[in-house]
Amino acid sequence: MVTNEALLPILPETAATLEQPEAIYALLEERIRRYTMGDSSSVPADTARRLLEGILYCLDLNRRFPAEDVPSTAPPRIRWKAGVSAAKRIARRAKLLFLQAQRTPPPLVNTAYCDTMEALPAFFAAYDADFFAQEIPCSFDYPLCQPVPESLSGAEYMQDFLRRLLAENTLLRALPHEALLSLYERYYLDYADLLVNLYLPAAEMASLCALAGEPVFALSLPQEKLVSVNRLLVILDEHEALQRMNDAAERALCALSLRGDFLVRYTMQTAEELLVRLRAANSMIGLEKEGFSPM
Amino acid sequence: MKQEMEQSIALRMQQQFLEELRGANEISARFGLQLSEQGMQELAKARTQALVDHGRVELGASAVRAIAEGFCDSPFLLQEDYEAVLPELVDAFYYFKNACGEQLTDDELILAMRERYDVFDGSVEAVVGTSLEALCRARRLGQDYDEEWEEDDAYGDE
Repeated sequence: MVTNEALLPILPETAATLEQPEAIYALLEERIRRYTMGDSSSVPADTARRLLEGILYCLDLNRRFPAEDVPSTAPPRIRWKAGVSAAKRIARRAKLLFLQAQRTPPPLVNTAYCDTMEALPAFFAAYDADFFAQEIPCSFDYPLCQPVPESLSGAEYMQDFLRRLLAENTLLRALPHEALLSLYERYYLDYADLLVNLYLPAAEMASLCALAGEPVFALSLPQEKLVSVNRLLVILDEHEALQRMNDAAERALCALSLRGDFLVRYTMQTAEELLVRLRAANSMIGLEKEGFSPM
Repeated sequence: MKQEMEQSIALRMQQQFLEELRGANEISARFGLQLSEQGMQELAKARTQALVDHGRVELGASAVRAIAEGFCDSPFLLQEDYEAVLPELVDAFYYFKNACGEQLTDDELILAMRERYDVFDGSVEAVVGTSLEALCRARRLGQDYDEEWEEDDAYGDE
């Protein structure tokens, strides 16, 4: 028997995870034929790998979001097709979220935000669920406060990115333009041109204001209040401090008349990360006072 | 279990490929050309090696049958050279497929290779030793192959 080594370029990464490899290969063969429209019997190994990843991604998508009329025991081809439909459905939803993001921009934007909003339509024009459902054919310059998990691909990535962006915009739109501008100038110096997230300082300061019992709309705390809030978060035990930060984030959103589970979780997560940074900075200062150098 | 399955797929593909060559043999036999079983095995190895070397994947029907059928009626291809020439053409074919960036169909490429092969009186070197540009330019513009070949030689001497 002569082993067909031509399969090797696409096998190494996927061989271990392939279910029903015979059927998958038959499906890949059919996808290659469709992709080349019968003009070519072979494709570059990289194209074959991308096509195979597309098949496996759609099978996985169907496993995670099963179609009602497709049992999990159905042949891979049927399940793959249902996965393609799911990917297209998610892409359509993402398009709606994008239109919503276009209608509801934050009061202040920066270059990275604008570039990203200009780049996103390319995704909807180029997204090809039939062949490369796992791919994300556009670039994202704007850094989200809570990035999209790297485990997400294709339209799922886009949908999650836009969901997060909309949550961030919702909070920013509830805050006064002047207060945001003043905050960014203190926080970033050049918020317009730097590759920075606009939501992060606003969410953090809103939570700190709520924690200090000051008006959230101001997005500003006198120095002595900042110091006392900082001291409070350090002297409390970790669990108690976390609870206070989460409550503060929730109160800040209430003060801004904002609701929504996702936004609440998102803002709480941001507040929790601020707490981690504050406590780490304080323990570092404590160590330095005791004579330990971080260098 | 998985390894057995993969081997079974590879074996099935191998058999499918040999079956294609037997089909090609039926056509080429009309022109006095035939691959022996040993020649088919060698060609299968050469095709696999060419695919690996040029980083290409071919899962369904192979282009090798089309190459064999595309060249078998050339008056310059003789039975004594057939088994040696085909692997070289197959390797060149996959090389040119990459070089053209998928812009040429299998049939177009085979036709261009065949024209050059005939114009140079059955010289495999003239086909495998040329550039894709030269191959296509001649087809597009009806360029004089002799001049071009001399040009290629001149470049080679530099």
